[in-house]
Amino acid sequence: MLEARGLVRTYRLGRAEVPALRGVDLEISEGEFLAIMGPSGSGKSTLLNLLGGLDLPDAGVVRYRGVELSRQSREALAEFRGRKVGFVFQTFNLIPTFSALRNVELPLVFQGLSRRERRRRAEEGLAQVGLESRLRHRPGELSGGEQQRVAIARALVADPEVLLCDEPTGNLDSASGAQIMELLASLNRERGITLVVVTHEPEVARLAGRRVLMRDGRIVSDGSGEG
Amino acid sequence: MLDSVLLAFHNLRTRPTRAGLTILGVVVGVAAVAALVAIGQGMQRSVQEQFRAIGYNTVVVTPGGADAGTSALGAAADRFSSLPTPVPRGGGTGFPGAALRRATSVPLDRIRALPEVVRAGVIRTETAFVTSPGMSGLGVLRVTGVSAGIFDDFPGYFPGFAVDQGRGLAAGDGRALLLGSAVAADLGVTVGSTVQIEDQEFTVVGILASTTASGVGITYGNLNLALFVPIEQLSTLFGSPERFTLGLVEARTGEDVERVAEVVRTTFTESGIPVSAVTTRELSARITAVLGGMQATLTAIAAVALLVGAIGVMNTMYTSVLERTRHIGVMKAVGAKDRQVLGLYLVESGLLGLLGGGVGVGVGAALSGVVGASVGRAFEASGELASLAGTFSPRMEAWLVVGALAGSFLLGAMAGALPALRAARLRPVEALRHE
Ligand SMILES: Nc1ncnc2c1ncn2[C@@H]1O[C@H](COP(=O)(O)OP(=O)(O)OP(=O)(O)O)[C@@H](O)[C@H]1O
Ligand SMILES: [Mg+2]
Repeated sequence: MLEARGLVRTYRLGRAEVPALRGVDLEISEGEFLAIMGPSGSGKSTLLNLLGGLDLPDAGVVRYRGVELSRQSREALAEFRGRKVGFVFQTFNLIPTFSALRNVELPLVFQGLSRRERRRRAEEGLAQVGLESRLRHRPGELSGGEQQRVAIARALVADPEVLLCDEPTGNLDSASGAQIMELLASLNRERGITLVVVTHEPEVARLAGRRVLMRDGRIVSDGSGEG
Repeated sequence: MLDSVLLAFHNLRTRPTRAGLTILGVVVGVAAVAALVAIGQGMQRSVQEQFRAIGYNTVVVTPGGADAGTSALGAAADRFSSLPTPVPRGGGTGFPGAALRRATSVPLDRIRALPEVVRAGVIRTETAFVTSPGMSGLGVLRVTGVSAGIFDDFPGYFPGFAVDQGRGLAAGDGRALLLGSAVAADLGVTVGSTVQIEDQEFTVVGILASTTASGVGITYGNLNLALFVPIEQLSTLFGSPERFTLGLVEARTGEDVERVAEVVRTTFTESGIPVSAVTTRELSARITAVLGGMQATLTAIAAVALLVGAIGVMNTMYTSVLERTRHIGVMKAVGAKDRQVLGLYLVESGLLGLLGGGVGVGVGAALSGVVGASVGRAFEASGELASLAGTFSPRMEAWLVVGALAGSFLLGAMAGALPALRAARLRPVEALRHE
């Protein structure tokens, strides 16, 4: 469903060139739960961003159901991000001045849905992550785990096919981290949503059906084995 | 769209002080421009109203014929600024040139006899030594000679004219004097009193009602300060019966006023008096054009303030784009298209402009009212310039309000265009990595 071929991404910092990906091939099937692991700086986030159309590769291609992302217009790419994928970030990336409800509504605003419909789906989404009593709270008034659940509700509200999570438990204590992972895993189990999780934590990776290990911008191992 | 507006409001509310200061910057510019336009509009309007009162069928005649109209405009402009018309005291300043030796007197009867003319009148202004038993010493005052019936024939030229005591001037009057209320009080005279002008004794036949109406444009200045005598008396006092300050000729309805002006000019020329004769329509157009030019200049200066306000909006928008770079990244990650981000920021900066414009129009209206009133009072107090007071009745017309609001929204949006474009073109990853 989601496929990377020969991905190269090099960042330029002034004169210096930082090779983040040096040729990555990866194929992700529908309904898969994939964990991406590897040391800091190995290119995990870079790969995830390319898979979700947040960034474009310098060489190589990302295909979503056979459609090459690099060839899409900026507008079509925005559409792809809005409808097909959901992002969950380590730092939540919620708008601090918005209530939980407004944060979850945001993707639907850009799809031009009616206010009533947006509200209904956002409320439903927050209920699914167990936050029906926190609709009016702002991110600052929520715990880290609750904030991440708001972010997950936002990632799900447009009913995407793939959830791309970059260290979703990285900023959480182990108890709420475990809750978040249980929530994500259940989405994969029960709704069949394709789940890609970048993580440093072996406990997290253990939940995944497949583990990919990266080092220095390359995939060094890929399988359902020991990780 | 509604969502962008709500979102923009939300964003402005999160930084109320900055939004307030930015709006204040716009307010200053919009208020200055709106106030100036309102004042200018009021001026033009009052000039036009006076011309309408005189009637567009009227030809205005002024002495000197170099370029038809120019000197009339000059004279009108003099009247407009209400400075004393620079008429040398005393007569004897004959016109040079051979053709002019034939000059006899103003051909008022010949003009009146023209078939295309309904009525005509002429006035002559001189400065004269004036004294009365009721005052010590003597004053130098402006004395206006008028042809018989001019007050009835051209009431629009004398706004606020009404006889309060005694009677007006009548045909066949000799050394009769009609006084403005302020002059009568200064001279300490009543109807029947004697006033000495130069070496002649005049009898006060009437005193005008005090009036706040003040002539502007080409109409008579301040009636409260007027001393009217039959125009023939000025020939007796100062000689030169061909001298006059202003002639008014009303064309018969249906006549081509331009042509009548030509005929009037010829008639004067044949009497050896070079004049310019212009229609009131023409005169009105020229004065309006002069006022319009003045207003355009002032407004252009005020527009600098507007520019400063726009720069403030731009600065604020750049700052908030920078500050909210991460949020822009989030919006793009959840599917915001470039044009949606662009729209969001354009609406936000437009809203800054619009709010500034709304308050600015209000402040401008208040400002023009205060300026109009205080300038009016200052001119009234100055006496001689009192006729200017009436000009300062500012008009904040509906189109000005709507135009200012639409304009300030556009101004804000334009000022925000570059920052908005920058926001829209941000790459999602880069925006998300910001800070
Ligand atoms: N925008 C950028 N500009 C310059 N260099 C970058 C940029 N983003 C990433 N890099 C560099 O590219 C390399 C890979 O970064 P990436 O964020 O993909 O690593 P990562 O595996 O996600 O690391 P971490 O586990 O610390 O999140 C690193 O060396 C990083 O410093
Ligand atoms: Mg990373």
